[in-house]
Amino acid sequence: MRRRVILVTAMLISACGAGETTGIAISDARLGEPTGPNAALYLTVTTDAADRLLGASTDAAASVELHETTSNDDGTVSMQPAAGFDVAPDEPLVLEPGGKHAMLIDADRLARGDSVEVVLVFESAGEVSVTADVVDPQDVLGAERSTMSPELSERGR
Amino acid sequence: MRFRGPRFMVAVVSCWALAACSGGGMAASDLQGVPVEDPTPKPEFTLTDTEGRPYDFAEETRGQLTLLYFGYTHCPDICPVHLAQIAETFDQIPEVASATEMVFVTVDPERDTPQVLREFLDNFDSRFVGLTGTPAELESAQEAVGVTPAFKEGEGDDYTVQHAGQVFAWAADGLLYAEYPFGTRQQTWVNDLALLAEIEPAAR
Repeated sequence: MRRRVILVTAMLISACGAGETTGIAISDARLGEPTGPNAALYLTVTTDAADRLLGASTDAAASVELHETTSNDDGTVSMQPAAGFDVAPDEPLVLEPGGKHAMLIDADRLARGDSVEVVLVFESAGEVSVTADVVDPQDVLGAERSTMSPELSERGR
Repeated sequence: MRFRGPRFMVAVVSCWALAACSGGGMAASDLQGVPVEDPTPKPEFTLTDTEGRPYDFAEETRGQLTLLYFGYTHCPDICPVHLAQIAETFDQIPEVASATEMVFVTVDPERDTPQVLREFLDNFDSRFVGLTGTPAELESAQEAVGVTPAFKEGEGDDYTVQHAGQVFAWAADGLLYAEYPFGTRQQTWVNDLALLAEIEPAAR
């Protein structure tokens, strides 16, 4: 009974487009400024219930694909398309450089300082909207990415 | 005046001591990149630059701090990060930038025409050198450097390329001192390029 109430509430709220009440929370969404035809989106997903990221879409690119970069023993790196990425309450999904990421194919010529609306599609939670900041590619590395964050956000403006 | 003597001598001796250490004896232990145990000479290969001219790597970079990276312009994940970090380091220490040759070799000659390559590199720093060649030339260049040659993965226009992930750094003496795998921090680049730039060219 209780579960049904929660479910209905979640459905109602998600119908209103409020992503944060689906139990999914997105943080640190950032997109490296495109330097070629493609651009990589990085973010962290936390959730109240096990779910799976199935894909994404945005008006700022022809399409979005989930990819995973892996480092191999011989020093090479390779990038493979992925069908989806799991996320669980005790296991946040981290999209980060050199690992899992969402790739914007034929991205618009976005510049640092811009922001991009992206719709993430989850197996259970459905669509969750997120705004990603476009940043200098040197600044995508995540938590310890820089000791000079305040001024970095000022660069290129 | 008399009192200046001893202190002056100490200063002079310190300078000598430092100078004695600066040729080849650079504090390699202070490098934060992945050190190369046995510094090896620069590889020999000739490719074509973005102006269509032949570029003899060992000859063109002789006597300069030299960085080399194999990548491709459709790569959105790791290639731009390496290049942006090096460009940022060039901005932070311009005197090092002017004494450094940054060479980017495409591993995707099919899509990376000289013009595409030039536009891509200009996003970072217009001083970066872009090289391409025939698949056979590119493969032998990678073998000369000692990396696993890159290869295509996937079909159609959307293919990706598996390629060496590290940047190589030779000092002006022509020796390879360190490698920089993906994930290298900005501070490491600033620290290491400043140190490597202190190494003098070898006497010819």
